[in-house]
Amino acid sequence: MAGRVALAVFALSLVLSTPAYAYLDPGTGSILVQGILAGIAVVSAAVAAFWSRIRRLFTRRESRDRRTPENGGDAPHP
Amino acid sequence: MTIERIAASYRDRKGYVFTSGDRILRSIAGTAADVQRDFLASKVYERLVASGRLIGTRIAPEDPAALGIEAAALLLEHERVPFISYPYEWPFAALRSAALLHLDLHRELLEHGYTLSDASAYNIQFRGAAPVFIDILSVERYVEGAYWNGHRQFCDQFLSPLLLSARFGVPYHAAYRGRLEGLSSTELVPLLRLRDKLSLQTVLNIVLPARLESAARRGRVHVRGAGSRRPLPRSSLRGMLAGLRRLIGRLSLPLRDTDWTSYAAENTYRETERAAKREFVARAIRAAAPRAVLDLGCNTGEYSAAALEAGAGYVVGAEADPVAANLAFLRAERERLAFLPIVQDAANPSPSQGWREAERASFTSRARFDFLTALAFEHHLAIGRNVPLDELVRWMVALAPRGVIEFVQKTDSTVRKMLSLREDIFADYTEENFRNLLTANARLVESLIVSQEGRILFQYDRRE
Repeated sequence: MAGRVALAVFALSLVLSTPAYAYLDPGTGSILVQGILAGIAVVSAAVAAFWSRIRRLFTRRESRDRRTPENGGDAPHP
Repeated sequence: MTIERIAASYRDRKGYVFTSGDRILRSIAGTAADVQRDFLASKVYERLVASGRLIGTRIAPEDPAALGIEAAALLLEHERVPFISYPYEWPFAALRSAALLHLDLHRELLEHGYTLSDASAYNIQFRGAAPVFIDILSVERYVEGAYWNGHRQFCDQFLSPLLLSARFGVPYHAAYRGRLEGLSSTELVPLLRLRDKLSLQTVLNIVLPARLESAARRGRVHVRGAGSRRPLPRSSLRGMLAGLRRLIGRLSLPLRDTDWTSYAAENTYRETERAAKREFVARAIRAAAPRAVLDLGCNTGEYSAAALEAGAGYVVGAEADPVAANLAFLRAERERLAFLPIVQDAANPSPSQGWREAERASFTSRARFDFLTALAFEHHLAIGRNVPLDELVRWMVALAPRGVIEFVQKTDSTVRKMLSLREDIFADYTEENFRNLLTANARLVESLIVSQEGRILFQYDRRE
């Protein structure tokens, strides 16, 4: 699951990356740090996607458990 | 009208700036012209100019070919600023304020699909204590996922000098002036102590890039070309800008008294004498109604403020002590004065330097002042730095056609203190000689003794 999301993000990244050559030399260290930040963004996007899947799994189950009369469940006993 | 290319305008091949008489014009070539046309028509441009953060710009009415500009797709005309200053002359609070403007501008541009191609501190100028961004050509269209190419430059030209002063109390001006491009992170890192490195932002922007750079040099890590990099999400870029803003917004000079900061409070003047001095300056300013005043040795800006109150249009203060200049800048900021104090040693003013020794203009070539105030100043050069009195008077009078200069007697307690540990080699340092030298260079309008120790103000006029 997480692997699939990461793969999707990676594929997206290939589509999105454009050569951005500047007249200014951006500096090796600065580019490497931004690469790390970009990596962190990919990982956190994957983690966020994974968690939202899990949360959805639970919320679906929870909503099934907490059915109210309006949505077809039994009225709670007094 | 002959056109003259600004010597510093050569880095970006998309265009350059030149002067034509009093006008500041910019020629832009190729596709950058389309971006600029769109930007100039945008709401964000309008808002940035209205709030004073971006220099006012319009499309120049004439045909570029008429001016003899080849390959110009677009010709722009910019508003002028009252005085060009450089980051190596800015007091701490001014460099910090310029850094914050740069970050805020970048963040606001990002929200509207634009970004900045570089982070040069020279792209910022001051109107009073208010920073304004002058290089509209740095504004480019933002491409989703793009890296911040100006990050290293931002750290070198803003963050490292600010950290050096804030963490260690070491003024950055001499080093900055010497190398022009700021201070490199790789040189700052060995100085940082453990407690300086406890800040995430310092690690992210200074320590880590320096480490990675040296690792890359040794071949331990490889940097990917622009085409094969993982994209940097806009939110991450926004986060970098916000983090730097938080760090820089908190930086301040360590509290430390210099000879000068307590000067305004403890100087040898009594309050009535100071009032007499202020009134003399105010009267001379009211009579001359100068557009631009130079306040030599402005200290914390007390008399610069008095000159403005008396009707001066704009005051540039020159102060050798970075701490006093910083207090003067804070005063200008607090009271919203048309006053820019810069760090400047009169015995060693900013030279003409950079590429072809013309990129950054010397202080004297930028000095177009109508009026000079040099109060409690000359003795620091004549006695403190051994500058011959005749050269000093000639130099001061040449700075502006009219002005007020204070002479401090040799019997004055300040001069006595300056001479207490050294031989008095200043036989010609007398009020009479000073007066003669002044009349040899200008007409003496008025003079007034303003202290019990015989300090005397001279008003001169050399226009005839």
